[in-house]
Amino acid sequence: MKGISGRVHQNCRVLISLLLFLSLVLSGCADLKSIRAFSEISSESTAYTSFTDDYVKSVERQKRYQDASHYEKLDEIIKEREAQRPALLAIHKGVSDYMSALGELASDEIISYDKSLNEMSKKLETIKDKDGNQVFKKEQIDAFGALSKLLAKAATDAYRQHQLKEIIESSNKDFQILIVTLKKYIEIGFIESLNNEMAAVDKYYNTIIESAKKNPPQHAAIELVLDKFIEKKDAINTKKKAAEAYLKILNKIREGHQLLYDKRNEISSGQLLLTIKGYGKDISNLYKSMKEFK
Amino acid sequence: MKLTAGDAKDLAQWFREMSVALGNYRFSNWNDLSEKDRAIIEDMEWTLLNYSSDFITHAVGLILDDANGSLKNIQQATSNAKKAIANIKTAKKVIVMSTAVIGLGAAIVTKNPDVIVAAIGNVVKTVDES
Repeated sequence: MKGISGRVHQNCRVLISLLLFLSLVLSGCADLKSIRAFSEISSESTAYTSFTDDYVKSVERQKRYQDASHYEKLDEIIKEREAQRPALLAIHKGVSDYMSALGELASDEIISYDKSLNEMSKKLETIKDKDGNQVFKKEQIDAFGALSKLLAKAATDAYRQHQLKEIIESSNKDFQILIVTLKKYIEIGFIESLNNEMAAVDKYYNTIIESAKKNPPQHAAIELVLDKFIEKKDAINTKKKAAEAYLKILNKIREGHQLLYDKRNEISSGQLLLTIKGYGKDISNLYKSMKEFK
Repeated sequence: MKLTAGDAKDLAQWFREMSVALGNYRFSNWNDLSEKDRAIIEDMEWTLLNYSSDFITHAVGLILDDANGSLKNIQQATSNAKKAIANIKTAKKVIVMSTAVIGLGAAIVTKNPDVIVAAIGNVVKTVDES
């Protein structure tokens, strides 16, 4: 028995030395938490589609202010905007899904072997010889477990970083185009529609107020109309502020991805990860403030 | 010459500004205009504003047309990322199984049948659980 356990221990020493050597020659494991966080918040914010819903409703609301003779034209515009919705939503989804996949690739869970190799270590403890003695000493199992995890994580981390680099490199140009598309849509489609809605509200309520002035006593009624007028304008301004916050979010996402592209050969560098962490925080704060605008 | 999204946006803004200017004229000259004239001018204002909304919609259509190719490429990139994730998950299973086999190897050198049987049981269970 002494001879057997001696051979086991000798073989364990050889094995452990081999694992140590291999773990040293492979690249170090990188903590890509900040890339994950940046990707996840970018995914969440680009999945926000309320502006797209309102792009159609803005014209529907304008019907309320206009004479029925204009409804045919407005209905035409509404129909055309409804037809654009699937394409707009597809871009939101495309960008969101892409950032979500990047986030998953950057997550530590994907290269963590803690659970499965801890189970393995427990099983090694149960291996006993014919006298009921544990074959492997606890310190041997612990060392084997720790080195196995390190080796396994290093091997998959090298692959993961390589894949992240490849994907970011190949997709940056198209990603930038899509973010710019969303920005242009918000600026031209959504914000300009709100400007038109504001002009419609101005015309409608000013017409009521001017007509009321000619027919006294209407002072109290004018006051009520003014209150409603201000309420409508405030609602439009609130939406504009939300849209402006969203434009800032899209800018941060665009810059962050560009930075990942520019520094793709140093994707685990401390400086890059720190900067990306900052982007993630900025997006998170802007997104929180944007959702407060109702 | 084909209209760009930028051109359509400029036209949308121009038509809105015309509509607003006409409205300002109507409100400034309210008392000097007859009810009929005010109604005609108001109608023109709405027509101009609706042309503006039309050009906004056209601009968005042009923006979307330009993005088609890039969307397809990003969808492909997402698919590649998911494949990489799947490969990592598969590799994990292989690595865990290999570790079980290493345990088996260490047990085999003992040439002790009981130890070997226990280690084989380990490997089989690991394969099953994966």
